[in-house]
Amino acid sequence: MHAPDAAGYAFGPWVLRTGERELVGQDGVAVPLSTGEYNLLLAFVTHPKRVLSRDQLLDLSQGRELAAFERSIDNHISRLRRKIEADPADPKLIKTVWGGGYTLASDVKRL
Amino acid sequence: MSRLLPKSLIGQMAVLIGAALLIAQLINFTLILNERQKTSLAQSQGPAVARFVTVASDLVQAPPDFRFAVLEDAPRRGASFRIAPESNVAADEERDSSTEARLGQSLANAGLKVAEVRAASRSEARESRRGGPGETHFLLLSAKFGSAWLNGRIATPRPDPWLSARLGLATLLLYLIVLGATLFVAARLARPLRDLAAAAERFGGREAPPTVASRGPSDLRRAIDAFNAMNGRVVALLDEKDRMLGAIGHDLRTPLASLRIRAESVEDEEERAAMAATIAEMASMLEDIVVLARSGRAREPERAMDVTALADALVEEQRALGRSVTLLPSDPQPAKVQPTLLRRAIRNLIDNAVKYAGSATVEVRRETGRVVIAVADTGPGLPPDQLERVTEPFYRVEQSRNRDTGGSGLGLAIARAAAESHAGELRLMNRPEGGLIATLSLPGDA
Repeated sequence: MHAPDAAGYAFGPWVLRTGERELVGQDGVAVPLSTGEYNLLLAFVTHPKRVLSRDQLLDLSQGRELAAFERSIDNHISRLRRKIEADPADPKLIKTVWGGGYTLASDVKRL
Repeated sequence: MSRLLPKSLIGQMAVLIGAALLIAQLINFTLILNERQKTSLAQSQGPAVARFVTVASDLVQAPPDFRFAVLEDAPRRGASFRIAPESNVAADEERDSSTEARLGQSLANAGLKVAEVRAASRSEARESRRGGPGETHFLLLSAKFGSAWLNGRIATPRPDPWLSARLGLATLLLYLIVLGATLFVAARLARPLRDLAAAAERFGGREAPPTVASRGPSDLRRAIDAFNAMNGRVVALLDEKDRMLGAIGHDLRTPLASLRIRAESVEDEEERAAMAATIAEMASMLEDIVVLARSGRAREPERAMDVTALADALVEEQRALGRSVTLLPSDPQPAKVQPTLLRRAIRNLIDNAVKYAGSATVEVRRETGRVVIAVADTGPGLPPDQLERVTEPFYRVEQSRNRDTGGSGLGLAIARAAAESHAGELRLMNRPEGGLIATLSLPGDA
């Protein structure tokens, strides 16, 4: 697993803190993430605005235990969307790329 | 009656003393009023009766020809006298028996023999000298000499109309002064007592003890000072206990680590595995002890956190281990929490459910301003008398635990300590539909 090389990543209205492995919103309320969600989100914020296929996401998130379930990437994406999107039905941050995979549609600032 | 009586000290004192004082004052008021009226009546009747007796004895001693002159001479200063065949007080009229007795006595003392005496007290409306309406008060006195009546009509001084009002005012004033003083003393007692009770309720034995301001009467001040001192001792004692537990847990880690290394060199593979398992169990037990000790002292800084997301992450973690744990749909519930401690508490509750029931259902909801984390299972539940005891450190439910389920017996104790450290509480209940439900409630003020 590659160690995150920043204390945090700011994207959209969120800050992903690598030390505590959690998201912090603008209101300062922390949103804890499961290991799978955290690793997946870390893959996105370290590769912003790039289309990532499910295979790439599996590799990047080191999801060894997830590898058995191909669908679990989709599952984790929908869980992440529920936590970070204002409207999970109309995602603005993690977008689906038809036939390709997913992409983080926001600029990321390293903190 | 007991429902009408206020519950607080000051309320009870006010009501009881107020009622007792009222009764005493009313009795006193009635007695004084009665006495005053008697005195004032005697003062006004005395002269009237004396004049009547003087006229009567003059009449009796005067020769018959002069009787007319006596009667002519007598009507002065509001009095008039007549000789008539009938009394001016009819037999069936309202009469004044005390004056009659007095009149009879006075006539007898003057050596006059009368067949009968009658007396009545009357008043009639008149124009007062100051212009307004007023009343004239007079006594009708009548005595029967032989066959004729001597009738007298003698004005009496007006009874003091303000007598009862003045007396009432004095009584009321006295009442208010005594009641006011009582309430003042009661309030002086009640306020420090209330502070004391509030401090005792708030006292969790953990953080700096609440110090109650020492005030009020000296015996109450002594109680408050003793309470403050006792709080200090309790905190010091608990602190000492936590420090000792923490030190023991911490200091045993090092020899245990070296034991683990030595165990690696055991030849027999089965023996080595058993030793490793035992050592792992001891290590986790020590870890629990350290956590429990730390939950009392050295609080972790609180942070605003979405408790639902925290539960969600923990549930996800369990599912990744292949356990059957579900989070019911829950809205985000932000609260100020100590993340590591709360995480541990929820994890312990889920672990417990999975251990005894094989599965767990978690829900996070808001109940009257508090964030409630409920972990339910469908297992055998607990006998009612053990619901409270299982949260005691090292308590184990008999029989239901066998050795291979492991655990230190500290899981629920840590969960409870975590809840208390958040000024919340942990409750265990048997669900009506079967199984156990553990609810951890926290103040949700973030």
